[in-house]
Amino acid sequence: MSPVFAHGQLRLYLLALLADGPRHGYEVIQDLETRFNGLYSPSAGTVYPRLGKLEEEGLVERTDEGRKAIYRITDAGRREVAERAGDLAALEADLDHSVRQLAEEVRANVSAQSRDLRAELKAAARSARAHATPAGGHETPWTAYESGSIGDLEHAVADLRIEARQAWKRKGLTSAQVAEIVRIVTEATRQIREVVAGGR
Amino acid sequence: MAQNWTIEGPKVLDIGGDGESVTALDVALIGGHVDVVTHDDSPTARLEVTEVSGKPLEVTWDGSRLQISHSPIAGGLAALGNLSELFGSGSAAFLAGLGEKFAGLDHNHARLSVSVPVGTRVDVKTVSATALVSGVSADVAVKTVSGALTVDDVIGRTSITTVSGEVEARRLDGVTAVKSVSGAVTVQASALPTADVKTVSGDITLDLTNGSAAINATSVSGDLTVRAPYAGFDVTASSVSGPVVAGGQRLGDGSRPAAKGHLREGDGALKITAKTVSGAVTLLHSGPGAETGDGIAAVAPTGGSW
Repeated sequence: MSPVFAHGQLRLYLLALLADGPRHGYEVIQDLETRFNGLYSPSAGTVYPRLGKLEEEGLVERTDEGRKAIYRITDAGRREVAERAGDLAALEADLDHSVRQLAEEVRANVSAQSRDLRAELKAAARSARAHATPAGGHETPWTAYESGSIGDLEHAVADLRIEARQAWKRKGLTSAQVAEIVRIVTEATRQIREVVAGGR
Repeated sequence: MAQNWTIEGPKVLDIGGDGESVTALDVALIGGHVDVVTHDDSPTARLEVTEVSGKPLEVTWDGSRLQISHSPIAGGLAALGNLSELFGSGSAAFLAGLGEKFAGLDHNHARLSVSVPVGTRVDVKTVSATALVSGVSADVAVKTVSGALTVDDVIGRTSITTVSGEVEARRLDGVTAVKSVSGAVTVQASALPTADVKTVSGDITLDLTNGSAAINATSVSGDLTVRAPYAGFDVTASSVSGPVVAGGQRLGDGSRPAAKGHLREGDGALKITAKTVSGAVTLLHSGPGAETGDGIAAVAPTGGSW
């Protein structure tokens, strides 16, 4: 699974907040929001389960006052905050950038690997096509033609196809450019006919 | 608890109340960028919006499904669901219609990142926005007109649809469907028990980690290249002028590439069924002893059953 962002950090942040003094659950949420200038709005579904977990771990203790629960940090909780003071310092910047940075790394990685793979497989496919023998029962394999000339021809045609396709896909070609490309291809077709006719 | 937000600028939101879990995420963007990543330590979602221009971003939460959309595109993006029209007649008309639907919307840009629980079903649609989806253990569907898409680390069904946007995927594990008009689609290091590929002119590259699979492909001029650690293959293909090659064998009689037929080697566990006009269909072997080209060939005559 891909690594996870900030939730472990949120836990530390909650502890740090409570290290400043005990708070009601909703005060914790409000303080988090204030601390991030209203840019971050944690939900009850995010905060309460984490407070519950901190309580289970003995880092926080809860006392019920009427309908409200007050959370107070324990000595074990203070020790954790002290031990992780360094992490805490790096936290605010991380909360802002964690998801984006992680995603950017993944994307750069996938993209570089994809480029390499495409180039590698394109070359391998080209070579496989040039060297394959016909499976139709005919005796003449492609490679048996004089000095691989058919393979060369196939490469040349493949290159033409790729170029023409890229030109077709490209936006903003002028009509003069299009006409020129058509002229080149038509001329090539005419010359091929001549060569074949001359060989007869 | 149902909630709505209208977001006009940078904002970070945690979404999901006490006892609620995010199970589905739908994102529809015009321009800009979206990252979808996952976490496994909370049933809630976090949305970080770093930029919104044009219309505000609409966020809707119904207690299990999170929808993020840059309105008013919902109707227009639905057209992407009908991309299959492109593979029948009237594709030009379809593209023109698509262009009309999105005309004048390009000023709507948003950049956002969202983290959801790993088991969340993810659906992302964009016009020109780029997108990343990573780390999902559920079904993923991505669709784009011209945006570049990246999909990484999915355990579940993956569906990729692109008009001209390039799509790069890695570490997919599950049944996969790819539809492309002219966008190149590259899938690396993936285990795909079945893959359904339809392309007009976009090149499709599949690098598989599994040697046993069923791949169905339809192409006009786009090349299909598959690499897999197969023990044997069974390729049934019909091609007008595109070469069809597997394990050192070429379909056809050597004098003309046009062919309809069948190539087989060993147990035939890697099955490819392909129809192409001028696109090449190539099966390559990965791993030790790759591409010896003289395997245990059991060749059926051309013009085999279709």
